[in-house]
Order: sequence, then structure tokens, then C-alpha cells
Amino acid sequence: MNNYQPVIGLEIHVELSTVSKMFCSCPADWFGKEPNTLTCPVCLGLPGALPVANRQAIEWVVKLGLAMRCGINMVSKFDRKHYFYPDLPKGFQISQYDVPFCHGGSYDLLDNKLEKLKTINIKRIHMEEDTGKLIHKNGKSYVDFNRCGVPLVEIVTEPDFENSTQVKQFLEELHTLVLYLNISDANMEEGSMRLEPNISIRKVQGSTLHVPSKKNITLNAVHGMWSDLPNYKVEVKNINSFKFAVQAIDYEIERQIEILKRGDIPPQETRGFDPNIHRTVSQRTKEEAHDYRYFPEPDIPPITLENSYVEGVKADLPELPQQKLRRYIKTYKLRYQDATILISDSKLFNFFEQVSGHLITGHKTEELKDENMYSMVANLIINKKISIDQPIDSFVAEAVKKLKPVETDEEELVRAIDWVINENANAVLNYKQGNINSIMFLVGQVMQKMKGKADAQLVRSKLEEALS
Amino acid sequence: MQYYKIMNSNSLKVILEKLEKREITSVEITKQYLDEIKKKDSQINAFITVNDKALNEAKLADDKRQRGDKGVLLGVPIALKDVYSTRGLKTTAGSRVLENYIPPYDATAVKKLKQAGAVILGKTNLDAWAHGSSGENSDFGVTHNPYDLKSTPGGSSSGSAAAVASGMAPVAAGTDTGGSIRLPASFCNVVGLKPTYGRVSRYGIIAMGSSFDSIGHITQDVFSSALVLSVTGEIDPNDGTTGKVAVTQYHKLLGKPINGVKLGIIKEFMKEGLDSEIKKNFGKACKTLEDLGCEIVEISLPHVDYATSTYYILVPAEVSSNLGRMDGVRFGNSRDHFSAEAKRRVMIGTYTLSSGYYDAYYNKALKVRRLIINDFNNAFKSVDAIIAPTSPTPPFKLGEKLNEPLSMYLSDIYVCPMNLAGVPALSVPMEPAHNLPCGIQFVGRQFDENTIFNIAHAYEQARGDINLKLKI
Amino acid sequence: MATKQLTLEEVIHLARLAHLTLTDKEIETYQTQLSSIIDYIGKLNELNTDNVDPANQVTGLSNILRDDEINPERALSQDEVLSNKNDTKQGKFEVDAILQNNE
Repeated sequence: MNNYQPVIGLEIHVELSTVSKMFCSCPADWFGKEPNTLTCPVCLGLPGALPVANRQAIEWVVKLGLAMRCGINMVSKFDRKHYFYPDLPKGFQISQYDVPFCHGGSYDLLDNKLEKLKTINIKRIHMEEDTGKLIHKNGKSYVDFNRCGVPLVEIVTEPDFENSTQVKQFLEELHTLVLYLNISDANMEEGSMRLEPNISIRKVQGSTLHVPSKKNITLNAVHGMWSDLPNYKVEVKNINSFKFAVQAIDYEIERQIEILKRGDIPPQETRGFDPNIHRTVSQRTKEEAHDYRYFPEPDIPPITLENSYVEGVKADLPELPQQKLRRYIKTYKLRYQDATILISDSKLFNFFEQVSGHLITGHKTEELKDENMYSMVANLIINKKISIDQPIDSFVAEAVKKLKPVETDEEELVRAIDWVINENANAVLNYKQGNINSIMFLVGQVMQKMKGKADAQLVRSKLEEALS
Repeated sequence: MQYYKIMNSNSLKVILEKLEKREITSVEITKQYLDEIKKKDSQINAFITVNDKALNEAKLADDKRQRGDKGVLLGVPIALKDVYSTRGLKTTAGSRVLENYIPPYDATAVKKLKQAGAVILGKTNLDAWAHGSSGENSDFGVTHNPYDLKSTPGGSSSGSAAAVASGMAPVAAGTDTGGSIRLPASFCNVVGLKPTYGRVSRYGIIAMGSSFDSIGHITQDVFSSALVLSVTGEIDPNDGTTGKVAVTQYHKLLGKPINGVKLGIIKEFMKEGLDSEIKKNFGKACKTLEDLGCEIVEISLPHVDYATSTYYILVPAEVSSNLGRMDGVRFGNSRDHFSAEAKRRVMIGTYTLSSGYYDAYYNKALKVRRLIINDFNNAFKSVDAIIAPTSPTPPFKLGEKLNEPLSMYLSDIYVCPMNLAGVPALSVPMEPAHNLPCGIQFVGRQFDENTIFNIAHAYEQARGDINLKLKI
Repeated sequence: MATKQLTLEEVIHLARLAHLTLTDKEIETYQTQLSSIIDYIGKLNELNTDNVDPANQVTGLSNILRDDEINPERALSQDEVLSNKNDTKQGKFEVDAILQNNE
């Protein structure tokens, strides 16, 4: 019986794709630019400079919160979070402490029947500004402040994940969700989506795997509540792909279980993931508990949201990925696999929806095999059988041709079948001896003889008749 | 200029008239001030940097005037406290940490003054980071009071007050976080304005206490003070705390009769600790105001005795935060270069914000601040303005309070409550006490600078010239 | 006479949090001075502030925001950004090596 259950929570940073930075009007598109060319006194942290908040960024964090079923704090503020580091020019980060924009949300992980697998609770989503970038080279370190001040949204989940598979699913779906909301590229390789999981292992007694027993509950300093959760957690940094996230988490789980089996407790620490050896390693710097000395940001007046504003943002939410998935499966009768591929790629699903609309309105449906029509279109798109880099009309025309039963000259068909049977005695013999697949070869030959002007299903059934 | 006359050659009314009538050029007047600086500043030490482009700027101003430009301060030389970021001109905050810092941008207030045509004379000395009430905390030497070279000129805008008082500049900009314009103005026999918090943009002014810093200035007379505010006042998109109230032409609204105006005297200020001669002079000033038709009543600010403690929790906290950016990475020297007072304030601030102490100190102080704001709001329900002495004591001797930081903090008791409430206050010279300058404060509702300018102007006219001799 | 004394350790801790280096003499001097200041500001505990709303701003303003636009007015060129330091390299500021294997 497995006595060890992983307890995993995630802290995810998403860089918003606003045009300008969070607290100043410098360009936010920093990636790949010449160092220190996208700053002003505000984001460079020069003496005397003052922040003014970006209203679009605030709207987007509310948007994200609503999409994740969060409560929105109608009165909110920014706070200063203090620590010293060369990439933090002011010596503090403008963030949010006790009144984040969004709190108490949830996200359901679904299985391929669209049944709930697991609910992930979202503790909070707040707004903050990004730091500069530190580059290490030849034993020296260098700072580029271009990225400083770019708006970041921080999503904190409860420690509800049990394994790396759930984490991967959540990350992929969060990535898709963020793209749907059009607020970020959420690209882990480029750093516009960053992950810091915290991982610990809970020891469980026998069959009470999921139900914390009363006698195991203690005041948990680490998780901040009465719980049976372990009294330590390990944070992992430097994960920049979904694949690495899985590797890091799996490694950590194993590493921690080993320690627990020995009778020890894994030390509470921050570890770095090394993608070259697929392991987490202890950071060399001494871990000291941070005293961030939060206090409300005096330079930024509080933000008060009206109900009408929040309702407006909610009304403007697009169809969300899980909603679209459900619709594709229920209404369009697509297979789960096809539906998930389509919904994850806006180019694909936009095209699919346009085509589907066109097919209903634009063509006599009896021209097509209407059974599973949408599935077939999906299939054509996903398997690239017809190019989608063309106008809808021409795609539809091609699709209609492909999907439409081909008019077959019955007399010519009979002649072609006779000729093919005569020319391909071996194949005929194979088929008669029980090799069913030889029929496909023969069908192909008939199709060739007919110069494609035949319906493949009809050819097959006529062949089978002729050979019986 | 030895005796203080209101309408003296350093009044902006006089200067602007001369410039407009072409009786003098900006180059000539700027040169006069530069000569005064050369003559006097070795004894006063009011300036950290003299602008070597000042005469060029003056020439440009003269050219503009020839072309018909009508800038409100066209060609007027002005000094700036060395916390005002000036593009291309060294800005030190009075500290060795920034001794070589050259900002790549102008503060909004500087931009506005330049747009109005002002000529920058130089950057004035101050208590480093604006921490201080005496000018003795500067890393660039102590500033002396032009009315008694052995006394402090007050702080932290020590250089600005001393420069205007001794005729080295007609106007000097400053900052007032807990009295830092008004106290030195009263110690140096000049007019000092602390505007409403948010009336003048803080963008580009090296921050001390972010929710306290008021951007103001020191002049010879009330008219000049009102004129300069009409230039520097701004609703600045770069400063989110500058609010929504439009700037008025304050100098054009002076001269209204003040009979019927109701003035309040703060009961809690009139007790032991107030120098008896200052108290007497204040009584005389009250009589002058009554003769002008004002009604003077006693009011109470019940929590004002806690103002200084509240201030010394909240401001050092904001200071400790604001000085975090001085890390030597992008500019400036390392944090080792901070002087003792700066380190003290940073550590106090760090203490009151630190985990475990936030509720007992910082949050508590925020609540007391609310009580003090309410006290002022209540008072203004029954009076139009509040009057008080600016300082409980005359200018103290250099060195007298250096080793007792707490004693130094207590010189702010009449001035720091106004910063807690964010209300405007103007210090105007009264009759001297012990043959040294002292001032009276006129305090108004938020954004009601018009009222206090008008009352102060009337008082100033009625008071007349002051018989006090400069020692330089 | 300060009723609350800071210990030397507390002074050292504060200095560390604030990234200040103090000499031994300074640590002692500050211990005395800070203790008396802390004593003085502790006066506030005499006041009852139950049900009082903390006032961290005096303006009464809210929702002062900016539109999401680029405004080149305050933009600094790379030269301007680097102008206050001599030891910059290839457009970046040099700092003491940070011993981390990641950001």
C-alpha cells in the first residue's frame, strides 16, 4: 500500500501582453531587445520617479479571475514588497499583499468523458511588476532593466495536485485559457509563463488516503492552517517547459519519499531544476526567511471597482476552452481527441467554426454525407488533408468534393472491375484465400482505372460482390 | 539690503516689473545674484551647486522676451533645493551617496518653472535626504543663518531659506515633509509655503515621506509665493496623488478684505514649551489680525500631541522604503556612504515595518493619523483658517541639538501636524523674538491656498517692514 | 530612560534587513538612540484606536490610472540610462557576481 501522497501547489506567473508596462508608458515588449533601451525614470527606479497603474492590465487580471471563478475584491490596492537584489531597482517590488484583485477561485480538471477528475482551488490571483534580468557570464553578473516593470499576474493554487500528470494538464489548459482571453502569450520557453511548484509528501495511514484523520491534524506552520499537510515544503525554480515541470516534480517526489523512508524529514528549501541532468539541486545561497515589510503603496490611490464594471468584463468573456470542448463534443459530435486538438489552436478552431457555419448555410446538405459531417471536416482540418491557408469558399468546395459521394458510372464500374480482376489474379486469389486486405489493393486499382471518378465505398461493395 | 522691507528688490513684483519695463535684463539680474553668491556663500554655505549655465539661460530668456514671449517667470533666477531632479545638473540630496549623480530628467516642477521662463541659479544645501530641522545633517557642510551666523537656519530646506534671506536668490524651491519649508522660513525671516499635499507634482523630487512630501517654495513676500504656486501647481499624469482640483491664479486673487474671517488658535499649542517672547509676538500678530476685522477663537485638535510620534513612525517607514533604491547599481555610491541620521531613520523605519511590529507601530500610527485628519476637518467646520507660531523656540545655536535626535524632532511640533493632514500652511515673518526671526503660520483646508494667501497678505501689509539686521 | 531596549542583535538584524553596514561603535550608539526613539513613539499606545480606519493616504483619491499606451516622452536612451556609471559592459550594468545557478 502506498503510504506516501504527494502534495503539490503551484505559483504561476503570467506576463501580460499589454502594450506598455505596468506603472509607466515604456514598451512592454522587451524580449530580444538591446539591453537597457526600454526604460524611463520610473521603471529604472531613479530617485523621484513615481508609478501610475495601467488600467488595461487591471482589466485583464479581473478577466482572468472571472474565467477561473474567482471572487473579485471590489476595493483593492497595491503594496510594496521589500528586498534587495540587483535586478530590483527600487529595492521593493510593487505587488499586492492582503487585498489581491482576485481570490477564492477554482478550476476543474476533466477526463475524456468530460467528467470531473479533480478540482484545483485557486487561492488568489494578484498583480505585480516584473524585475530586470540578471545575466551571469565569466564569473560576473550583469543587469538589463528592459523587463523591469512589465505587468505580471501571479496565480497561487492550493496544494491540491497529487502528481505531475495533473500539473501538466493544468498548465496546458491554463496556457490555452490565457490565450483565449488574449492577455498573454503564456510561453514558458520565453518566460511569459513561469512556474514554481511547491512539493511535499504527506504520510497517510492505510486506506484513509484522501481523508485526513482528525488525530493527524496539527497547526501547520507551512500551509498556514489546521491540516494534516506536511510541515515542510520544497519550492522548485528554473522550470521552463511543461516537460521539465513533469521531470522536476517526479524527481522531487522520489527524492522526498527516499528521505522520508529513511525516517528523516526533507529540509524546507528552494531548489533549482537543472534541465541537463533532469534533477533538482539545492541552491548554494543560504536560505533566510524573508521579511518583506509590506505596507500599502503610498503613491498609488486605491482601486475601487463598480459592479457594472465587473459584470461588463464577465459579459465580454469569450467562450472558454472547456465550454468550447463541451460544445464540440455534444453539438458537433466530435471525438474527444479531435475536439481537444481543435480547441487548443485558435487557427484551427476558428477555421473549423467558419467552415461549419458555411456548410450549414451555404450548401445543400443532402449533397454531403451529413452523418458525422462535422467530424469529417474536423478530420480534414486536423490531418491537413485540405489546406486551411485558403479562403473558406475554396476549402468548402474541396471538402464537398472529398466528402460527397462521387457519382459513379455503374456500367463503366462493372467494366473496370472485370478488367482489374482479370489483370490481378494473385490479389484475387489472396482475397479468396482469406486475406481481406487485398481488397484495398484491388479497390485502388479500380479507382485508378476509373481515374478517381468513383465512390470508394461503392467500388468496394461492388468488388466484394463480384468476388464472392 | 540690511533691513527687511516687504517690497524689497527681491520681491518678484519688483523684479518682474523691472524686467517687463526693460529696466534690467535677465542676464544683469542673474549676474547680480551670482555675484551675491560669490560674495556671501562662503560664510553661509547655502549652495551645493551653482549652475554654470545660468547666464546662458538668462540670455535665452532675454532673447525670448525680445521675441514677445510672455512666460510668467521669464528671466527670473530661482534656486532649487537639491532634491529636485534637474537634467544634466548634479542632484545630491545633500548626501555623499549621490555626490556625483546627474539625473537624466527634470522633475515636473522644474519643467514647469523652466516653461515659465525661470533661470536656474543652482541647487541649495539641505539636511541630507531632507532628514532634519537644522541644516546640520548635510554631507556638504553646515548652513548658517544669515541673521546670526552661529545659529541654524532651520531645516531641512536650510540652503533655500538662507539663500533667499541673504539676497542670494529671490525664490528658492523646497520640500516640506514635517515642516521643512516653514521652519527654516521662520528661522530666516522669509515666507515659506507648504502647499496642499498633491497640489504640486512630486514627480522627480527625491522622495522622503511619500504620503507627506509637499513641494513648495521660499520667497521674500506673500505675493511672490502666490505667483510661484500658480506656476508649479499641476494635475500631473505622472503623479497619481495630484488629484483633480484645478490650479488658480493665486497672486491675482490677493487683496480681498478679510473682515469677518474666522481664525482658530490651537489650544494645545499654547502651553509650556512655547518661548515667551514668541508667544508675545504671536499675541501682537493676533491683534493685528483682529484690527483687520478677523474673529479669533480657540479651537482644539485633541490628538495633536501625538502628531510627532505618529510622524516619526510613518515617515521613517516611508524613508526606509524610498532609500532602498540607493543601491549603487545604476547610479550613486554604495549604501556605506549614508550619514548617521539617514541610517537612524532607515533603521527605525525598518523596525516599525518589520514582521511582528507592523501592527503595534505602523498600523497604529495610520489610525492616529486618521484621528488627526478628523481633528483638522472638525476644526475647519468652525473656522476659515488656523493660525499658530511656526516654531516654539527661536533659531537654536549650531551644535545645540546635534547629539539629541529626539530633541531635534521636537522642534517640529507646530509644523508636522499639517503634513499628517495634508493641509496647506504658509509661514510669514512676525516681529523678531530675542532679536532673531520668528514666524506665524496660516493653515487652510486642502486646496484652499487662496484663503491663506489672502489672509497672510493682509497681515503682511498691516505688519509692515521688520526691523531686523542681516549679519552678512 | 528607555523602557524598551533593543538588543545588539536586533540592531544588527535591522541593519542587515536594510542593507547597511555598521561599525561596532555605530551599533552601540544606535542601540541607545533607537531605543529612546522607540520608547517615544510607543506613546501612541495610550490612545484607543479601535474602530478607526487607518489613513495611509490623505488625498481621498481612487482609480487614478493610465491608458495602456506607449509614450516616448520620458523614454531614456541607453546612453542616458548608463550615464551615471563607468563600469557598464555592452549596455548592461555590472554587479558583484551572484552565486546562483539561475535567476
